Amino acid sequence: MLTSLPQSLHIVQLDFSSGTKRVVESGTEQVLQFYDFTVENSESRSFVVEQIHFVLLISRQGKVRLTKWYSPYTQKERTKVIRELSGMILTRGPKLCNFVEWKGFKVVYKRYASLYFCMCIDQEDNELETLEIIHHFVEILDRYFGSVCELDLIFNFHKAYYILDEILIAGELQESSKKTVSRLIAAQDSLVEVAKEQANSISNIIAQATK
Amino acid sequence: MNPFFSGTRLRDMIRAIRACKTAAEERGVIRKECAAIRASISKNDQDYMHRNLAKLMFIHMLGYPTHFGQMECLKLIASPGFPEKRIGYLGLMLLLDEKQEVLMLVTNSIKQDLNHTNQYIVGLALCALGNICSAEMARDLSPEVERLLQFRDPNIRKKAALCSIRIIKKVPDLAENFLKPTASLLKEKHHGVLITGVQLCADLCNISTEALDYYRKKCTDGLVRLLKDVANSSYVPEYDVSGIADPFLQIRLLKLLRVLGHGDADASDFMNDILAQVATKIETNKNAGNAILYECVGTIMGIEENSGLRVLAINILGRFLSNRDNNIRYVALNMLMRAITVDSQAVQRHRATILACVKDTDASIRKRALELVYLIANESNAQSLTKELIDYLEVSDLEFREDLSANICSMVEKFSPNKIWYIDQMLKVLSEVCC
Repeated sequence: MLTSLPQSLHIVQLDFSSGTKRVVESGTEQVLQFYDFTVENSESRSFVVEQIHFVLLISRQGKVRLTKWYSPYTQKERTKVIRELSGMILTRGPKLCNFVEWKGFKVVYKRYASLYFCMCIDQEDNELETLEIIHHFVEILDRYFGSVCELDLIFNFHKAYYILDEILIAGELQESSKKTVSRLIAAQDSLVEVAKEQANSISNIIAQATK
Repeated sequence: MNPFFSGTRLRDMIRAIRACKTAAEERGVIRKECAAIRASISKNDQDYMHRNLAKLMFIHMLGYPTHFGQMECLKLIASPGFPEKRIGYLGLMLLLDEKQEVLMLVTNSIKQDLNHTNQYIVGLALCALGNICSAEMARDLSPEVERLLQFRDPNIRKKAALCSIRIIKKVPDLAENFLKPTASLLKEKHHGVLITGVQLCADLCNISTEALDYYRKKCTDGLVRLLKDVANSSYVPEYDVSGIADPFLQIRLLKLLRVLGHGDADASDFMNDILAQVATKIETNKNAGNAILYECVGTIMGIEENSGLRVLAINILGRFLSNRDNNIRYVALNMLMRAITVDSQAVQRHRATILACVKDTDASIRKRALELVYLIANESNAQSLTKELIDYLEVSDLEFREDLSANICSMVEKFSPNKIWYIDQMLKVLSEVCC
């Protein structure tokens, strides 16, 4: 039936209580969304306060270098998300815009050398600012590793996570000063160094051996 | 550490994995490593817990199952030293998600760490809580977080503010406890605290109308003044992004002003001056400036009507739309979608440009433009728009045809003046798509 064709494609649920939009899958993989803005009249319009849902670092070959999830996704969903997004992003040409739309969300990505930095945000969020957050993260990594490259992030992946944790919490930005982030990371690194030295000191080894 | 240990180091394991030429070979290396880690775990080998967990995180990133390491995270978090806790919390955030029951077991350790004398340990606990806490944990630990909003070090206060966002999103009933402490965060000088405080304030307003009224009365003028100060501040290297003072803070302030101004003419009036200043004075040759301008346009559209400002905003969008940078064109289309409820005439004026964007080489721009075309369609222009789109259907990319034809069908259905036209258009679409 012809008339049922377009209707079956309007499958977006607007959930005003939580301010989220859900795209309901209906057999087809990609469901078109048309937000009916007449629903959101000025009285009932809820302000969706946005957040970053996850951060991904993918190499040009599609290898995952870092993942951070701020919204609940099961392990299975995570694998699926990574597969789908790397398929979409790695195939995009160089001069196109840095945004892809995906399941009612937006993924902002930027390529630095062999790495793609991706952040998933809500429809209404500021894409240009997210690009700026990605760059903020990259500059801090660069400062920490001294001209960062993919190998640094492979062998010191935990350091990259520590840095990210000083920049984002709960999918929100926590610090706009690169200097402060670097200082906090350095202070924590030196705490670890001090503990290591103590553990490796000769008296400690003797104490362990004679225990 | 035992100097006579024979297992591989993290670095060696990563090297071995990278040296693998086939997937089968990689699986073999990982199977061996996992077996060694399991053995070490069952022996309860204290010295290597740290290294084992680091290895497991790497293995986890490659997509292999690592659930057997979850309890190790809890043990490391419960141990007294900072290095163990640091890696333990990292593992907790990486290997577990909030749906797992194991998480409940960690609540007590987090509670202790939130009260620790070492502020970096407090920071670790706040970070973990903010990233993975469940509703139960939020209820249990909310008093601790509220208290930490007044901690002496600003770096803990900012973490506590973001943690509070997670808590109120999980348990909106707790929002009222945060009203007053958040208001005092807005008066601080430290930018990290301001950024997180403003964000928390916006989330509170989103959740409770009581909060919205409270901040509208108490904080609007303070926030306007703060935005003025930041926008006019002289060069501060620490917060400078390509010549602009702390764009992140400016954007968050603009967002919060939008929430406060919406539906309140007095509050909106109060912020007109600063919005006009930001919209006209900001440098737009760099992304950071455009990000602020984009947010400012959104705020002008979101607050109560001021015709002068609206014209200014629509003009900025027109300028964005003709920009050569694809990112700018994309956000212009995006914002025009929101502007259509405010001033549909102004959006109609850009119809030709929007139609041109439907035919862009960039799939993201095409998709956005297509949705916008659907929104600007009305009784009078639907027929010409339909014709344009059907003509384009013929030459469009294969993967775009699904979206495009669905869109045309919706439009035809919504605006068909008579049955003959309807059937004609549908047949055209079908013949284009099927051949």
